[in-house]
Amino acid sequence: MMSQNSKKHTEACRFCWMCRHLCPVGLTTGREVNTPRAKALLLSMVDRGEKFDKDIAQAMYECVLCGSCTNDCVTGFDPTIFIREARTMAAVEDLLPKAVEEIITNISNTGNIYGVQKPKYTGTAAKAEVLLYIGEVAACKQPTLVTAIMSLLKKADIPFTVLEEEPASATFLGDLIGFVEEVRIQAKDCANAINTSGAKTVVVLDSYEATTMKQRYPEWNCTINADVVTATSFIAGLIEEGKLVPKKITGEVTYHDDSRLARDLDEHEPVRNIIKAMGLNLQEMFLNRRMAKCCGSELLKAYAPELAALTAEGRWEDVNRTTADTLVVVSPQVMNVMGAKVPSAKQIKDLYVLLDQAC
Amino acid sequence: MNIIVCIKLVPSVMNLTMDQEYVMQRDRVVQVINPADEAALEAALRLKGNGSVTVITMGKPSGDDELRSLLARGVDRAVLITDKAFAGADTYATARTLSVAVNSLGNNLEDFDLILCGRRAIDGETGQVPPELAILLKLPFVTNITKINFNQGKIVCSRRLEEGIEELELGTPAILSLCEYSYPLRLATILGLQKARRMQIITLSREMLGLKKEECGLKGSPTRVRRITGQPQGIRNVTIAKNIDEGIARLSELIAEVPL
Amino acid sequence: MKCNAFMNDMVRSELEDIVGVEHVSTRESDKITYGVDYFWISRMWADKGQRPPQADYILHPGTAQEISKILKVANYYKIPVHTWGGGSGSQGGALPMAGGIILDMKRMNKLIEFDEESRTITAETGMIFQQLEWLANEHGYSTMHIPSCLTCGTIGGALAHRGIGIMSTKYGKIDDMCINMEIVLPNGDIMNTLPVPKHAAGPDLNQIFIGSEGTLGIITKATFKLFEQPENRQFRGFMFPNMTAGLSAGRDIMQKLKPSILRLYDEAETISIIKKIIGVEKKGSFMNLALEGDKRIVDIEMEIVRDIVAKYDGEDMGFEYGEKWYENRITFFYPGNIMEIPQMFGTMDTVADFKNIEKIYWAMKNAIESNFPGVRFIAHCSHWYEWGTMIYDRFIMDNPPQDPEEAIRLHNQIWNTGVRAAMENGGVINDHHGIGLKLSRLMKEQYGPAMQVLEGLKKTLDPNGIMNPYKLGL
Repeated sequence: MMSQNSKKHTEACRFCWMCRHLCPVGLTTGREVNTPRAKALLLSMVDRGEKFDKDIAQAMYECVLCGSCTNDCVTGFDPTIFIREARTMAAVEDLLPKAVEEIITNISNTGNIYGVQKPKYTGTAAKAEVLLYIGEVAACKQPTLVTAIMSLLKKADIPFTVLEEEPASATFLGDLIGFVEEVRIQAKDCANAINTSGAKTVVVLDSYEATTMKQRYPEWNCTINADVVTATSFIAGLIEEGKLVPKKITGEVTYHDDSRLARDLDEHEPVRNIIKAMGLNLQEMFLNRRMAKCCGSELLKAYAPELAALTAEGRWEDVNRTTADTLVVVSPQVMNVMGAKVPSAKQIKDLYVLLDQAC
Repeated sequence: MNIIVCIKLVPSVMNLTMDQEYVMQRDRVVQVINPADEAALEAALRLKGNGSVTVITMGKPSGDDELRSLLARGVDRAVLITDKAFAGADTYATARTLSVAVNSLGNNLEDFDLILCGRRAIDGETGQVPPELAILLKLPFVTNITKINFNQGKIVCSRRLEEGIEELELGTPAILSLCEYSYPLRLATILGLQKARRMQIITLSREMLGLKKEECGLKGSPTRVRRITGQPQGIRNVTIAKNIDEGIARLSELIAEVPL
Repeated sequence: MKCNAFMNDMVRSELEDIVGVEHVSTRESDKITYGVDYFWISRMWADKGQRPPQADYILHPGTAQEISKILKVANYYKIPVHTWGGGSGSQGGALPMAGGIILDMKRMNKLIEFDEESRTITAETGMIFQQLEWLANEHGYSTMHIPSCLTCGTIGGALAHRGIGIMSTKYGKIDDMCINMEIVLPNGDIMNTLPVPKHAAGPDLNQIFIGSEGTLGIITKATFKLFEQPENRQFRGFMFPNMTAGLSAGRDIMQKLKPSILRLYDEAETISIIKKIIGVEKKGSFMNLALEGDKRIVDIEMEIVRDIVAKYDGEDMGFEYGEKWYENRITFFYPGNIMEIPQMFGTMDTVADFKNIEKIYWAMKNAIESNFPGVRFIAHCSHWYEWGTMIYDRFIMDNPPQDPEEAIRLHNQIWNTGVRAAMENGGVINDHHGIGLKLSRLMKEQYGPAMQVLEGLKKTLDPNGIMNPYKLGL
């Protein structure tokens, strides 16, 4: 049962070949089914009586929802619309891949994709104008990143609070089963928790979650009564205001624009300004900003680690063709996905950690 | 509480796309539920308690998908009134068809406590169908509702006026028309979607409703649209920008003029 | 392939042993996907909800050695092998019409060598051409193979059907750009063509395999020329009173100069497409031209072009149209801009010498329009040579028969009529889309006794006939 809107997109994309060269999954697997046109074709065949089976459901999960195809489309079609809806269909028809089902179980048991108790962090105050939303990936997998950004906020004399029980942002559940009421309820709980804190600014560490809060929450009537800003633009702002003054460090780095920050939020320059402020020499990859090739996501890594390894290798190939020996990242997801596949001649560093050392 | 919600499918403004020359691509228009009707629907779902919500819409058979998505959100029954004979109906012919359909759904009107509508549709913008329906069904009617509660057999509702909000109380059955965005419609749940797969959409034709041909569609419409005209340019002393860049440049000039 | 009981599984295990379990698929979703390429019939068939032609196994080999082993197994069991690149061909060349194996080349997408000294680049053929172009661009060069399917097709696809890009008039077709290739022969031997093409050591083997459409072997690696990005590119649009004047001007330009882009639209296309995308509202035959290279030379060349155009009453339309076309050149191919199902359409790209080209244009136009009511015919000449040009002539039928089989019959009749009109007047069946399944039946008519050369090659190299059956008339 696809919506009319989805059908418009599948009917358009099913016979269009134009964006396949951008699919980070298709480029590494080389499989025809890992192209937007194939997914649209399959769903259009389902609409014409073909059985929606576990193979087709599986195909819908071989996608990072990175929006590279959408960004390329001259005529405004958006494969992520029907891919998300097809994931809802997979859940409805009981055809979820087993690994995906396990992640959903983790989310319902613990609120995060890892199925673990989320570590607790505390801010400088119980109540403050700034609330740092850490998110599950950073909280569970990148404690050094969290420490670094908290240290930076302290150095800039920004009192901040952290939610004692930080609810899930609904980002991952929304990517797993599409935009259904279960997802909206999770979002609503998160928005309520943020609103109860009384904060005026929410600094969101993970760009995926910032995208959901900024773009989906209003659509779902889960209003956050505060400014939602990405950590990168907030920190870049602190540098601009002179609240953080980094010492110059030398080195040649390259930077990977993660898909939601670069494409969905269209935010490219704050990170580059931070890099510039530190005196680092930035060597751009050939495909950067809105054109950046996605390296995979933590969610993909959770249910399809072999695929996330391939997408990460795909992006490392681009890094390898620059002269930089270091890849700097600002996303806990990129750190985890790319960090798992670092080639021997290269290193990966968290920009906040570098900045914290320089301030 | 047993509630009937009358809805209309309208062209979505969210999905409008423009071609390279910024001309609307009409073939890409997707039908969605009228925003004010969404509010009526959400209000009904919250009020129904142990009762039921029945959705009625008049339109093309292709409305099937959208109705099914409503079943997935907790609607108990979806009725699609569809027949070639209904084409071209004005507000009166529409209200008449709806009133006959409402009567056909229960043994008598007492079977329903409430009929909710959106206060107007974003395509036609007449806002006439709900009051016409009230008159045809001989029911009390309140427009522009932003809030409804049901308390000890009484409906307590808020009605938006030009200067303020009016609190009203009325008995059942009644017809209320809701303001858009007063109750944002929930999404479908996975469980609801599973259930909806097995549910039937009730289809009613002209014959099933016992309507004569001259009572519905264009033939049954006392009004005719003679002409639709655009607002003549210049009436508000505006300058139409030749292209988007020029428009943006002008807009930034205007913004710069605004005192901070 | 007809197999009994568990025979399919026995073969599958053998194939898995070669490429790895994860690179063999029998998933239904894959089978549907590989049954629909850019061929109008395959799209229409899917649009009608019909099951597409299906392969039994979909393989994703990683090396030429693996392909070699696959072909040996395929020969033993006599299983058909269909090589698949991007699947963006319009001639049905990649469709698994005989069942058996689909060999998707896209996992073989590595850059092998970038040789700045010789100005060449070498890569595996499963790479999407745009990736190769970007790798060249990173170093400030270009392959100058810029087809509309740049982002859709693979290197192998471009070679297999003798493709062409929009800059071909100056830089050549893919067969002019390719230096050497690695090929896996049907018997599994891995061979290389000679290191460079311009030699006197017998015929150029590159030219036997370029255009062979997967019927004679599988191209696994190729080396291409690299060109400097031009310092200066100047566009110019001209409106001629009619196609005849435009063709004469185009001929004179080609016999003096080498524009990179030279496109001449007939009156019907000038009105229908050019107006929609580029906004030209004038009647006539529109020419879009680009000259490029060293600015000093380009300036002089443009003066010469203007002189020639004036001779044929061409009106100078300035550079904006050309630049706008260049910006929007691939917009044509996105949904909502190009012909779409349920319309019936096809591109009968015909190539011929200047002496015959206009005669062919009229013969085809008349044959199509007089025999098939409700069919429109539009054309442009987009790739030019010193001796002639090609006609990119398209037929469009807005309301084809609903029944898919009836639609196929009509489609093929239109093609037969159009292509035969071209061949009878000295034209060649196809310029750059290839033959595939679509035109396979007409190859003998085109070649006559010369066909035995191709058939001889086929018989020797692929005695079991497993390589892409029913394609290219072989």
